[in-house]
Amino acid sequence: MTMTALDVIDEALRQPAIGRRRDLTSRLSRLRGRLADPAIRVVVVGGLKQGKSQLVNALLGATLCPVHDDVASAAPAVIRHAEQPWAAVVRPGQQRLEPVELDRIAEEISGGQVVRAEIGVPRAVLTGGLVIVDTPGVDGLRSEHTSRTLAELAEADAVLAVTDALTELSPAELQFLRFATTICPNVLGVLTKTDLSPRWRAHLERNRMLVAEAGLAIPMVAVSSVLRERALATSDQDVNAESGFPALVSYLENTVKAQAGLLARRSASEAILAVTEQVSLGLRAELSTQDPSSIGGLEDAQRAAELLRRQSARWQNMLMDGMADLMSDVDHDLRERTRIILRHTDQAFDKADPAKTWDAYCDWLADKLTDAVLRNYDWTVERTHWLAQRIAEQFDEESRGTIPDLGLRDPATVLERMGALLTPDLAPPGIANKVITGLRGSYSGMLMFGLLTSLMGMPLVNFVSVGAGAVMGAKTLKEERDAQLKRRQAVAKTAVQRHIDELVFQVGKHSRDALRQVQRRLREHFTEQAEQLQDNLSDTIRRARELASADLAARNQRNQSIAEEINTLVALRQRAQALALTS
Amino acid sequence: MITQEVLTEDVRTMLEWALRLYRGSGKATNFLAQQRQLFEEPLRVGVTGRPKAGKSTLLDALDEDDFIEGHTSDVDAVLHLTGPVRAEDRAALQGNPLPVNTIVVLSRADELGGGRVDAMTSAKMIARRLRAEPELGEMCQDVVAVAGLLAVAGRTLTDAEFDTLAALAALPRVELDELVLSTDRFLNPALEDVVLRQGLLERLGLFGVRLSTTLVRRGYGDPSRLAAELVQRSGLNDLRLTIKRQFTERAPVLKARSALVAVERVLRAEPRSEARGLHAEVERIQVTTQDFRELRLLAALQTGRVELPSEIAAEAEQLLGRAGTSPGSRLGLTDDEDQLPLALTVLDRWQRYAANPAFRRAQTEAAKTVVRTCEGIIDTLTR
Ligand SMILES: Nc1nc2c(ncn2[C@@H]2O[C@H](COP(=O)(O)OP(=O)(O)OP(=O)(O)O)[C@@H](O)[C@H]2O)c(=O)[nH]1
Ligand SMILES: Nc1nc2c(ncn2[C@@H]2O[C@H](COP(=O)(O)OP(=O)(O)OP(=O)(O)O)[C@@H](O)[C@H]2O)c(=O)[nH]1
Ligand SMILES: [Mg+2]
Ligand SMILES: [Mg+2]
Repeated sequence: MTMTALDVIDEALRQPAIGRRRDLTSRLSRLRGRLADPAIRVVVVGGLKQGKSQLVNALLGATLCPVHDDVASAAPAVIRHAEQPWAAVVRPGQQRLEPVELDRIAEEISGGQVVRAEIGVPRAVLTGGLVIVDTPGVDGLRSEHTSRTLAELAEADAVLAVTDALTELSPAELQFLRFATTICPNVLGVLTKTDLSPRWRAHLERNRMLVAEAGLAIPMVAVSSVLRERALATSDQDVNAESGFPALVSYLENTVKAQAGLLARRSASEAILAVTEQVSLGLRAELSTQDPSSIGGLEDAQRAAELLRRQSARWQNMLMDGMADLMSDVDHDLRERTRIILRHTDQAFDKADPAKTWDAYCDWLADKLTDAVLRNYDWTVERTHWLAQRIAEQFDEESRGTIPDLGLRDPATVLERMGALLTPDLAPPGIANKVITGLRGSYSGMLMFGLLTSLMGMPLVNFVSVGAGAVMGAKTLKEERDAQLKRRQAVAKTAVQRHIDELVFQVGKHSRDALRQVQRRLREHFTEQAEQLQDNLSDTIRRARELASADLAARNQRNQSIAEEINTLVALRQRAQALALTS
Repeated sequence: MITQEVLTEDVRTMLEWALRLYRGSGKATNFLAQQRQLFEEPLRVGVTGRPKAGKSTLLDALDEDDFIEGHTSDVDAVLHLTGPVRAEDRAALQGNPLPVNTIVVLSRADELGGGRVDAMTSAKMIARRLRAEPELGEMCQDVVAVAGLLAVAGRTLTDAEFDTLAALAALPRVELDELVLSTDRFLNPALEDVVLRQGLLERLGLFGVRLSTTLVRRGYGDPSRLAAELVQRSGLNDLRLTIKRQFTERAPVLKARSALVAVERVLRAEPRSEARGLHAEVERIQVTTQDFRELRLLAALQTGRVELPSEIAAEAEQLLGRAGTSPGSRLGLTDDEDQLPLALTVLDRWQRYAANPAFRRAQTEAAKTVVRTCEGIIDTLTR
C-alpha cells in the first residue's frame, strides 16, 4: 500500500512524542492544510530588479505586474485561473478584498498602498490549480518588502528563484537560495535577460557550479522575457523557442503540475524528517538519563534544581546591581563629558567677546552637546548589552542565545525638547539693544532666537551704522567697553552653565527612565527563561522521582516505551524518505 | 574667512603635533608620517563597489592618475559604484565619519534601463530620485548614472568601428531591428562579418550598438561626432562635472578631512592623557571649519534635500562656492572695487532670510550657514 503525503503527516501528528511539542505539530498542521488545498503555489522570488515581474507577465502574456527600471513591486501579487478576468487588492490593516480594474492593478502594486494583490485571468498554464505569486525584491533581510516575500515563501509549493544573466550569482543571492531551499525544497533557478547579456551562457554555467558547490540541488533555465513577449505579440514559434520559455512552461506543466503529488510528498518528507529528528534526539537523551547506570537520575536532577535556584538568585542580583551601577555610571559619564565642554566654554569666554562670537559659539555648543549626549547614549546601549550578555551567561548553553530586544529609547526627543540655548542679554548698549528689548515681547520661540542672533551677528555693521562711537565719549568708551565685556563674559558663562545643568538633568532623567524600562524588560525575559528551565527540571525531577520510587520493572517499562517510541519514529522516517522517492 | 590655506596650515600643524606626541610609538609614528606625506600629495580617489560593478571600466573611461580601484583606506574621496541601490550599499556607505567625500555612481546604467535606446534617460531619473532620498543623501554628496562601457567606447572609437556601425545602420530597418534584438542574434554565425560584430559587442554592449546605429541613422555621420555624442550620453561628462565640483575644487578640504580622520584614529587606537589638547584641536577644526558646513549644505541644495525659495537658491549655491571659492566668484563679481559694499548688502539680506518666520527649520539653518559664509567673505575683504 502506498501512503499519501497527508497520510504520513497524519501519522506523524498521532505520535505522542511529536504531539507533546506544540511548535512541531503546528508546523506539520500548516503543511497539511497547504497540501490538502488543491492550489499549487509557485512563488517567484529574487533580488531587486532581476526581472521577476516581467517574467510573470511574459509567462502569462499580459501586463499584470508592474515592470520598471526603478524599484517597482511593493507587494505580492497572487495570480490564479479565472474564466472572467478580475483583480482586487488588500489594503493595510484590512482583511477584505477591494475590487480594482485589471488595467490599474500594476499601478496599485507599485503604489505602496496595498498589502497584497489578487488577480484572476483565463490562462491554460494556470489551469489545474496553479497559482503564481510575484513578490517584491529581496533586499537584505530587514525591509518590510522582504518580510512580505518571506511570508509568501513559507506557503510555497514550488519556488522560481530569479537572477539576471548580466552578472553571476552574488554571495548574498547564494545565501538566499540556501535559505529558500530549507523552507521549500522545490526550487527552480531562472536566469533572465539573456537577450541583453553577451555572456549569459558563461554566467549560467558559473551559477550552476556555484549552486553545486553550495551543495544545493537547483536545476536552472535561462530565459528572455523580452523575446517571449515579442513571440507572443507576433505568434512566432521560433522566437518563443529562443526566449527559453518553453523549458520554463514545461517545468511548470511536467514537474510542478504533473508531479504536484511528488512535490508535495517531497515537502512533507523534508518536514517530517526534520521534525522526527528533533523529537528522537530528545527521546534518546531521556533514555540516557533514565539509565540507572549512567550518572543521571534523581540526584543529578536535584543538584541541577539546586543550582538553578542559586543561579536564579545570582542573576536577579546581577541585574539589580548591574542596573544600579549602570545608572550612576551613565550619569557620571554625561557629567564628565559636559564638564569638558564647560571648561572649554570658560576658556573661550575668558578671552572672546560673547557679543561677537555668540552665534558661532551656539553652533559649537549644540554640536558638542548633541555629540556628548549621543555618545553617552551609545555607551549606555553598549553597557546594557554587555550586562544582558553576562546575565544570559548565567543560564545554560541552550537558552543563552536569547537576549531580548532592549529597546532603549534614544534621547533625541529630549534634545528636541531642550531646544537651543537661549541668548542672554549680551548686546552692547546702543540701538541694537533697544531694538531687541523692543522686540522681546512680540516674538517667541525660534523666531525670537533667529532675530536675536541675526542682530547679534552683525555688531560690525551695526556699530558703524548707528555710530555708537560718536554717541559716547571717546575716553569713557574704552573703560565702559571693558566693563561691558567682562559682564557679557560672565553672563555668557552662567547662561551656558545653566543650560548644561538643565540638559544633564533632563537627559539623566530620561536615561534613568529608559533604563528602568529595560530593567523591567530584562527581568521579565529572564524570569520567563528561568521558569521554563524550572518547569523542565521539575518535570525531570518528577519523572526521576517516580522512577526512583518505582521498582525496576516500572523503570524498564518506561525505557521500553521510549524505545518503542523511537522505533515508531524510525519507521515513520523510513516512510517519509519513501515519500520523496515514489513517483 | 577661514580660508582653505588657513585650514591646510592648521592641519599641517596638527599632524606635526601628533607626530611629536606619538614619538614613542613606532606604529603610530609610521602611520602619521605616511599621512603627512599623503597630505602633501594630490587628491586620491578610491573606486569601490561589488565585484563586476564596472570599476575597471569606469577607471578606463575617467583616465585619471590618482583614482584607485578597490580598497578605501588612504584615499581622500570615494566613487561608490552600484546598480539598484541595495541594503549592502547603504551598509558600505554608513560609518563614514564625515560623509562629504562620496559620490554614488549608478554604474552599468545602460543595463538598468534594460538596454533600451532610452535606457540612459531612465537611469538618470533613477539617479535623480536617489539623490533626493534623505537617507542616501546623508551618506553621499551626489548620485550620478554612468554607462562606463559606452564612455570608453566613445572616447576611443576607431574609424573601423565606425565603418562597421555605419554599415549596420545602412541595413533595412526591419533587418537591423531583428539583428539587435538579442546578443545571440547579433552574434549569429550564419551571417557574414560575425567577427566584426563580436568586436563591436565587446566594446559597446548591445545598448551601445543600438544607440550608435540609431544615432548614425539620425545623421551623426562622422566618427568624431558620434564619439562625442556617445560620451555625452554615457553620463561621463556629468560625472566629471560632479567630480570637479565635489572633489577637485574642494581638494584642500578633502585632504584636511582625511588627515583629521587619520589623527582621530590614532587618538582612539592609542589614547594618551597628554593628547587632550590635540583632541580638542581636532574637534575644533572639524566643528569650526566653515568649509565642511558649506560642503554639506551645497550638496543638500544641489540634490534637493534642502530647498530654498527658487529666487535665492542660485545665489546661495554661488555664495557657498559652487562656481569657485574666491570672494569674487562667490559674489559673482570680477571687479575688486565693488566687492565690500555688495558683500555687506548680501550679508544683510541673508541675515533677514535667517530670521524669516516663514522658513522651515532646515531652511533657517541653511540661511545661517550662508550668513557665516558672507561674514567670511567680508572678513577676507577687510583683512
Ligand atoms: N532586456 C531585458 N530586460 C529585462 C528583462 N526582464 C526584465 N527586464 C528589465 O529589467 C528591469 C526590471 O524588471 P522588473 O520585472 O521590474 O524586475 P523585478 O525583479 O520585478 O523588480 P522589483 O520587483 O522592483 O524588484 C526592467 O527595466 C525591465 O525592462 C529581459 O528579459 N530582457
Ligand atoms: N553593459 C555594460 N557593461 C559594462 C559596463 N561597465 C562594465 N561592464 C561590463 O561588466 C563587466 C565587469 O566590468 P569591470 O569594469 O571589469 O568591473 P570591475 O568592477 O572592475 O570588476 P572586478 O574588478 O572583477 O570586481 C565586464 O564584462 C564589462 O564589460 C557598462 O557600463 N555597461
Ligand atoms: Mg517586480
Ligand atoms: Mg576590476
